[in-house]
Amino acid sequence: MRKKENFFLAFFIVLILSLFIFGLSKTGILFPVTSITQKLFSPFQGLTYGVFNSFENFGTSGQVKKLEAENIDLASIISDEQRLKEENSALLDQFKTADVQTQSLLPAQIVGAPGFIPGFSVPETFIINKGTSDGVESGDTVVYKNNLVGRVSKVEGFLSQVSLVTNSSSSFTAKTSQGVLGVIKGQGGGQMILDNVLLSDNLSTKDLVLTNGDTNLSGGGFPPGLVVGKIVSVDKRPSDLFQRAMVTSFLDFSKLTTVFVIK
Amino acid sequence: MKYILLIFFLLSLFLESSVTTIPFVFIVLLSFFVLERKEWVLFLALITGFFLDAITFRPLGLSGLFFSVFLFIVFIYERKFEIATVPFVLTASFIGSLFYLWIFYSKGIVVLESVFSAILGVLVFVLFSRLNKGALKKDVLGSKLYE
Repeated sequence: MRKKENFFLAFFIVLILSLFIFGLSKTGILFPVTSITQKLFSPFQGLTYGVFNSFENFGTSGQVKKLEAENIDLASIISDEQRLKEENSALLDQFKTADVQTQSLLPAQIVGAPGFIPGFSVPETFIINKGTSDGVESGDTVVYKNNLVGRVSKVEGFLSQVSLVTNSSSSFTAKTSQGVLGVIKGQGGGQMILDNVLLSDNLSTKDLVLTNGDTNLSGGGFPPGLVVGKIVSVDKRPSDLFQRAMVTSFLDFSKLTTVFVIK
Repeated sequence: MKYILLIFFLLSLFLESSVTTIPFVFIVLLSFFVLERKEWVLFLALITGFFLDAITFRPLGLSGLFFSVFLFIVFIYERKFEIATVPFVLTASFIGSLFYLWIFYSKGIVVLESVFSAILGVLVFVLFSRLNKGALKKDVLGSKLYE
């Protein structure tokens, strides 16, 4: 009986403490405590992620790795060419202004990418080792080479959470290399679709999909010309209002170790 | 045993925050609680929950709240069921993981992950009970369980 009473008492103390901490964290008072904890744990998180990442890459041959890297580079070159064409056209017309912004890239190491089975499941988010102390802000764009990785969704002192482009909550305007406009919607599990494309527009497989560079009301958005992926299949039905296409990123999100935050 | 437990908790913390959505911390806590049934496990749940929240971008105290409430429910069932058994740990791990994943990762394949977590929970429980067998035999409660 006494044992039970003690347990009930301990439970109520823990319950009140949990609620108290929860309340304090909502006010932001515990921000320094969170930052210190993250600073303390992030090297170990990075180590754990690194160990698992090396296991995942163990079976991949050097030739495959080389081809994957080459593929990403080629996609970047095509995207650059596309951008140069647009800039050239804009200069010739003297109407449009080329969107060349001075951007600096902040390298960040991935310390966490929780998924169901490491190496098999594509993560929905990344945790990177840069936070407000490094100037990272919520909504910042994260890239790898010229490929879009995602957007910073949460920021703490020394760590940030990045929502991947394939995350089911991800949605933004994009265009194909042929200039067809649509909306990219993340489907989770590494899948994306290019939706809301007019039936009169021409979509074809292997077309590159690039960010359109639109900004939302809060000023957030992706810079133009970043590679989202390539079209792998098109779903066009005459009875539908719009056509859609499946898009695959050139990046293998489960194997990335370093990304760059655009500042 | 204390050091092994500490290693287990740290390992589960790093795994859950870095590479997987499987609720490792919850599984380790549950397996340990059904064997020990001590008040201080609740405080351990609060502390590990705090660290887990801090490194996984959750509001602080939320995981601790979940862990302590679930362990309390398990404690209530102690009178009706023999909780330090494989069937109970399997069921409790499954139900607990289902709620945990539903609350924190509602977009994933929750049921499949819960089944996997339940199997993992049993493995951790068996491992803990084997490691703790010697210590438990000296305890009245433990001797009833393992003899």
